[in-house]
Amino acid sequence: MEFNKNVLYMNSENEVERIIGFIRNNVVERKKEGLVIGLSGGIDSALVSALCVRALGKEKVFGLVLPEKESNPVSRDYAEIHAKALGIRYEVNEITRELEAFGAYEKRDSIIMDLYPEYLPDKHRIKITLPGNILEKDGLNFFSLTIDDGKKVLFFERLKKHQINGIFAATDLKQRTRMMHLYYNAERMNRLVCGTTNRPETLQGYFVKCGDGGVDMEPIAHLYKTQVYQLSRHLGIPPEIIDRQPSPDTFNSQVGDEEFFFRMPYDKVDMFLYAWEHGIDMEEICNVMDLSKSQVERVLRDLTSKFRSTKHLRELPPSLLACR
Amino acid sequence: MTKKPLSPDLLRIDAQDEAARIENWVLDMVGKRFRKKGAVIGLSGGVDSSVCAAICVKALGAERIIGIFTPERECKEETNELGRLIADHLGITAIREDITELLKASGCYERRDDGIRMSVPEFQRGWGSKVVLPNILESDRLNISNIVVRDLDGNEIRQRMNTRSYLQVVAASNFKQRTRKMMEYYHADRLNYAVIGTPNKLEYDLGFFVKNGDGSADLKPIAHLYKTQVYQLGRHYGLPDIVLNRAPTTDTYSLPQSQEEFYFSLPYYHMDIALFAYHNGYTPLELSTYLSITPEQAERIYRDIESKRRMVQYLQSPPLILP
Repeated sequence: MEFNKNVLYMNSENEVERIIGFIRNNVVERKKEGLVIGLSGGIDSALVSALCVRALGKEKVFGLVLPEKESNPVSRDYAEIHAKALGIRYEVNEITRELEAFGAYEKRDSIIMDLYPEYLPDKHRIKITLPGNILEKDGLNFFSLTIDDGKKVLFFERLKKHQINGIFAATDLKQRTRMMHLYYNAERMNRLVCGTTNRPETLQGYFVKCGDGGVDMEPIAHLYKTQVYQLSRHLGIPPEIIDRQPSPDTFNSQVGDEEFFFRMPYDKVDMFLYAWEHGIDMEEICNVMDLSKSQVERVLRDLTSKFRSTKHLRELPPSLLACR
Repeated sequence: MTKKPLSPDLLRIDAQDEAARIENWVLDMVGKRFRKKGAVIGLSGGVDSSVCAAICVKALGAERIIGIFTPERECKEETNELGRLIADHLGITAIREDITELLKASGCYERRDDGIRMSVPEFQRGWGSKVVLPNILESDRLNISNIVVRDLDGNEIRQRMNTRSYLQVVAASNFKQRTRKMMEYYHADRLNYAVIGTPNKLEYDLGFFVKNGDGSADLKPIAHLYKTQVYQLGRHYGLPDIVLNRAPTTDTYSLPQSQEEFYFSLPYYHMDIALFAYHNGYTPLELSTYLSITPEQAERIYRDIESKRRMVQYLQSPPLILP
């Protein structure tokens, strides 16, 4: 099996055509009148919405921008700029009130205050990260909490399992609330909800069940992030969106996907995933990526464990129906 | 082999064996497959969620089960009381989460009322409402639903809905099921528990659930059981009579609404037989004889089942992806 730095390169025009066909078929087969898509201001949703417009025409694509008080303000701006450039109809629907009604911020903050009683939700910023670059150091996937005041770090500590569960349970409400609005709009207009999850996210379970993972179709779930970049340049996505650091945009202190989840830059994630999926042998991975055996082993272990622990997210819920 | 004539006996299960089989499976799924510490179940006061809770209590122990009630301002009071009753009966912890404020914030009520006004312009806030589908025995026209509204003096208006109005009302009402599921996942994620889905075979097979709402869960222990079989299990577990004798309801609209009115057109025990007949190669004629309806009506039921099952593929499938 071939493995080199160019292995992820595709013929852009052919791939665009293939995806467009896929989108069109699904909408037609399911007798729907179009698509609803959440625009985050990031590259994935920018690319998917551009592909949808190519597939169906701009009248059949409806964009929804769903910011909340902790979103990066730039995200909303970029989402709107992009929607206007595509010429699609879109709405901005703030979800802060719902998150407050649920107590999403409060519940998360109370866990943080148990750890750091001086925490001031209105003044301080927080983020959650995994240990640094996995190529440089080992260490299991323990999440840490960082609190800063915009200038200096006030608090940094590894979180216990029940603390991280509590924090994610609260912050996942952001993705789930967005899902509800996407479906409300899709159902009232008899449309499908289009997802924006890419291949590394899909395979590693970097999405929220019944949140950004709860959609009707995923037109770029087969694309590595490198390929998302390639197609985005091909379709002329605005450079400021392409050049943004990929981020979950869930915490008010900006944190990238690398720090938060993958523990390496996307180009490396892609290459490793490709090698792992295609069973490339160790020696070749080491050669092509110029890394030691122990580094590669560490990464492959991490990929495998994330893949396994999130397997149920990619499957239908089990029932006893099959064993009738 | 000759088929046995249709009768409720065909659906009878050995409740003891079946209960044991499901309990083992739940233990295996929650403990081994998901490696979760317990289970969260939304309790509606109905027989399905009550039986699921009883199964989980047996399988995992009462201390590992959390029941959640999610009342909102349009729920029947009875629903909450029954949920509480079941939780007490089974000895499980119950959490009450009133979702009214959340539904107000997401615009559920307002958007639903806007949808109603597309059909009944005089509709006002505070009036009761429900959507009623035509009875399949009387008509084939599946797409024409009715809205029933009741003003504060008790006067009712019944009006045919146009498609946009119907879609908007259903889409907005679906905030309820989705918000409930969000609440269940919040507690499950926080505790590292699994979320139990409670659809029975009628609902699962015919798509009587909301995608990413009551249709979502980590496991669905009674999705293979007809409703009459769920009742059988309910008796096996000794659930309170008041739960076992209650008519199934959607509890989604402010006016009382049965599942027959909204989805199945037939009482559940007949719907069970119809679905069983459909799955097991009985002709419409055979079904019609059993139900004392005309063969044309039985054919209509089969067509309705088929069209619902086509919809189900959409509702149940994980997101489509390219190879």
